[in-house]
Formats: sequence, C-alpha cells, structure tokens
Amino acid sequence: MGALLLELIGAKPVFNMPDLLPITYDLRVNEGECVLIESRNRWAASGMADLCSGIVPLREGKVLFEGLDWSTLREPQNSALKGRIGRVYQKGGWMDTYSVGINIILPLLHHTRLPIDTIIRNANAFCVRFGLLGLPMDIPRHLNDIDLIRASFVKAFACRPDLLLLEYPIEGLGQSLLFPLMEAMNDAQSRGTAIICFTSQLSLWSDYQSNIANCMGLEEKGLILKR
Amino acid sequence: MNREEWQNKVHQNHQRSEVQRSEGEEENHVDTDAYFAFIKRRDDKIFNNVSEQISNVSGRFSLFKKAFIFTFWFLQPILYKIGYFTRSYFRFFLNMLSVSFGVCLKSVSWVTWRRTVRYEFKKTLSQAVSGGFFSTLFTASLTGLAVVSQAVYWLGAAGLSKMTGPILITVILREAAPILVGMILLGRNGIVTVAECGQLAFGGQLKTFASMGIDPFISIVVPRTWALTLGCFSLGMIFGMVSLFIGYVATYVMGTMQDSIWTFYGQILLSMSLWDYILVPLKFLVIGFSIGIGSCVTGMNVRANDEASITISKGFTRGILLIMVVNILFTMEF
Repeated sequence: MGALLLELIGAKPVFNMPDLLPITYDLRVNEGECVLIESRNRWAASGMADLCSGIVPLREGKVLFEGLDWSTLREPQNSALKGRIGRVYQKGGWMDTYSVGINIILPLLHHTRLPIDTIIRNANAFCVRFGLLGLPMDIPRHLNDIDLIRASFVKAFACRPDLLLLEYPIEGLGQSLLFPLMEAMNDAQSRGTAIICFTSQLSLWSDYQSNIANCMGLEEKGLILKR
Repeated sequence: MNREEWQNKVHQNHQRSEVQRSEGEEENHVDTDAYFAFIKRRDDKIFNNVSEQISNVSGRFSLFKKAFIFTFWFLQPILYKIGYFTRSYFRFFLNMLSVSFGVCLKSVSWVTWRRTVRYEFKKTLSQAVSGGFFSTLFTASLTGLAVVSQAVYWLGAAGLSKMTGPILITVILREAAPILVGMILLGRNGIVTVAECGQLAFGGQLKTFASMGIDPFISIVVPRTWALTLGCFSLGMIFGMVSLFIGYVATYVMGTMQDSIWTFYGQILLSMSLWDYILVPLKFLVIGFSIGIGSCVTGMNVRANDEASITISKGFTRGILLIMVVNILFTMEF
C-alpha cells in the first residue's frame, strides 16, 4: 500500500455551496489506489471533486493533499499543488478562448518548466492512445462530443498527475474508448497515481474491479463505504 | 408600543436589510441555525442600543432628541438603500483602482510571468497591433488629409507658417491621436476582452481555471492589460507618423508646402517640449492600460442575470468614458 495521498477529515463544506450538502465527509485515498464513488446526483459529484481539489471553503474539518492542508496553504504553493491533480470534468472544463490543444497543455505550461517539445510529444502520445490524430487545434465548441471526451482524457492523463478525479468517465462510452481509458488508468495507478472515479452505477466498472480499492456511495449521510 | 412589538418591528426592519446578511456571511455564520441565532442576537443588540440611547436622553428638548433618535433608527433601511445605490455608481471606479494596483503589484514578480502568461500577452499584443494596424493607418490617413493639410494651408494663408508645428502637435498628437487610437483599440480588442472575460465568468470557466491552479487574474487580466497598454502605445506612434506624413504629401501635392519631408518633421520635433516627449507617450500608455483594466473588470463582474449584449454595450460605454477621462486629465496637466 502506498503512502496516504488525500485525506478528508470531518470535512464539512460551507452552507452556501449549491452542489454539496453541508455534512461531514471522511475519505482516505492512498497512492496508487482507485476509489469508486457512486452518485446519482451529478452536481454533488462535481462538488465532491471540488472538495478534494481544495476549492470548496470548509466550515469544519480539513482536507489534506500530500499531507498539506488546503485551507492553510498560501499562494503560489496552493496553485502548484492543484497542478498535481488531473481532472475529467463532466461538463465544461474547456476555455473557449484557447484551442483544445492549448487547453490540454495549459496546466503543464503553467506549472512546470518542461521544454515545450517534450510537453507536446507527451500530449501527442496520449492523443494517439485515445484515438486522436494529434493535438486538436480547433476551439472546444468546434470539436464533436466524442473527440472532446478523448481530449478531456488526454488533458487529465498528460500532466502525469498524483491524483486523478474522473467525473463519470465511462457513462455512455463505447468499447473503443473504454479499453484505452482503463489501460491508461492502470498505467497511472502503477506509477503511484491515486484515482477517484465518480460513477452512476458501480456495475459499469466490473471490468476494472480488480484495481478498485474501495467502492463508496455519495449519499445524504455523506460518503458510505459500499464494498 | 410594548417591548415585544418593538422587537418585532426591529426584526422586520432588519430582515429587509441586505447589509446585515452580508455581515452574517462575513462572520462565517453559514449554518442556518447559527445564522438565525446571529440575526436574533444582533436584533436584540440593536434594540438594546436604541432603547439605551433613548433612555439616556435628558435635559432640554429631550422629547425632540428622542424623536430624532427614533426617526433615525426607523429610517436606517431607507438610508441604507440610498447609500447602496450611491456606492454602486462608484463600484466600477473603485474596482478599477484596486485591479490596477493588483496588476502593478503582480507584474513586478518574475513568478507571474510564466509561459502561459507570456503566451496570453503575446497573443493579445499581436491581436491588438496587427488587428488594429490597418484601421489605424486608414484613420491616420484621413486625419492627415483633413487636419494637417487644412492646418498647413490656412496657417500659410494667414502668414503663420511658423505656428504649424505647435498647432499640429496640439491638435493631432496630444488630442486627436489618443482618442482615436483608444477608440480603435477599444472597438477591436477591448470589446473582445469584455466578451471573452464575460464568457469565462458566465460559463464557470473561471472555476475551471481555479481548479487547475491557474489564477485567472494572473493568466488573463495581467497579460491582457499590459498587452493593450503596449498595443495602444505602438498604434499611437504609427498614427502620429502616418497622419503627419499623409498631411505633408497632401499639402505638397496642393503646392502649399515647399519644404522637404525631413524639414517638415524637423519643424514638428523642434516645436515639441520636453513634457511633450514624456506626456504624449504616457497618455497612450495610460489609455491602453485603462482600456485593458476596464474591459477585464466589466467582463469578469458579469452577473447571472446580465445579458451579453448589455455587458458589451456597458463595456463600450465605460471604455469611451475612460478614454475621455484620461484625455482630459492629461490635457489639464499640459
């Protein structure tokens, strides 16, 4: 078992968060672990992902990422730590002012000093892996839905994050994209990346069951351990 | 009116008041129970304060004093509303000042100028200069034809040819060029910035930026503001050169100007004072900076019920206002 990566200790979001119920959440995710969270409420899942990313103000408790408390971190450490998280958003997540290609490499360009050629080469490799010809140069609204999903996977995985937050990644996904995704998740886990995956139905993940450490449910009482 | 009625009155009065809700939020009373308890405590405190003040009044005209305290307390919500609307008119100005300070403060740190920020700066500068180049060229040519040729012609006819330089400096470089270049920049880039920032704010993309650990202030506001500042300066210099050149060509063709182009430019340069060399470029820089800040502030402060057309027209109006204000401030300095 890897070291503890993300820990929610009695984390209670502020009352005025529209997506997340102001109740106590507890969660522990180790390096290289995959935690599946079942939630029928997609807004709540996004709120939970926000909570893990440290962008939800807390009323009580704390959220520790890599041993550091989000609420006590100052800039630029806070932003730098957020750069270690890859995320697949269920809606949005694209800046319309940039092309999809720039959107993909934006976190790496901002948070690292890697040479741009290396970043592009790495992103291109992920593009090919997920079935894209290369970095798409169209703006997000000009790309079709399936290519945008592929690009969102590339964006999440290309930055080689420590934590992956995947919001409903396989809902309505064809087999052609399901296997590359699970393969990429498996590779990421073996590198030590922790994965939190939100899903509407746990049974959808039967093919990946052996790699899942915990199955939880996001309910009115908080996070409930299911398996 | 008994104590209970008074308390009910206090409660109703202050529930209407938005300022108290924000006070509650400032003190992090976010739980409903805690929030209502906070309101009750605060109302009790207000009631106690008012009743204490009234009971402490004594001496001459105590009845009038008590009536005044009571009336003032009763009018507080109305006074709040008046204050709220008055402040709302200054909100943009105050936002401008604070964002300007923030931009200057952040810009001096080398950590700010990361690759993404430099990319945004180059992109906006390229759009500002290349996009506004032909518009500036065309406007400068028309200005040259209309203003320079007419000024040279009529000053020559009046026997005041020596005044050509100072008059052209005053009319074109100090007054016309900053306004026209500012309007070109506002139309071509300022409005685009308003629309894009509005889209970022309205579409929740600012939150996406935040979740990626990218501060939108640093990655959008800072580079765009400096790019428009530099863009305005560049276009202003192009405008000045071209308008004077076209004016010279027009008067030369008409036969009213016999000197060479270099003599003409020399006359213009000699008639410029040291302050002209400092304040004219500074005026372009400040106008560009104001357009950048004003556009970003207008775009990012978009509210949920604002329509895109209203935001854009608001951005345009504010931009024009800023150009005129800067122009007048600098004119007063001359």
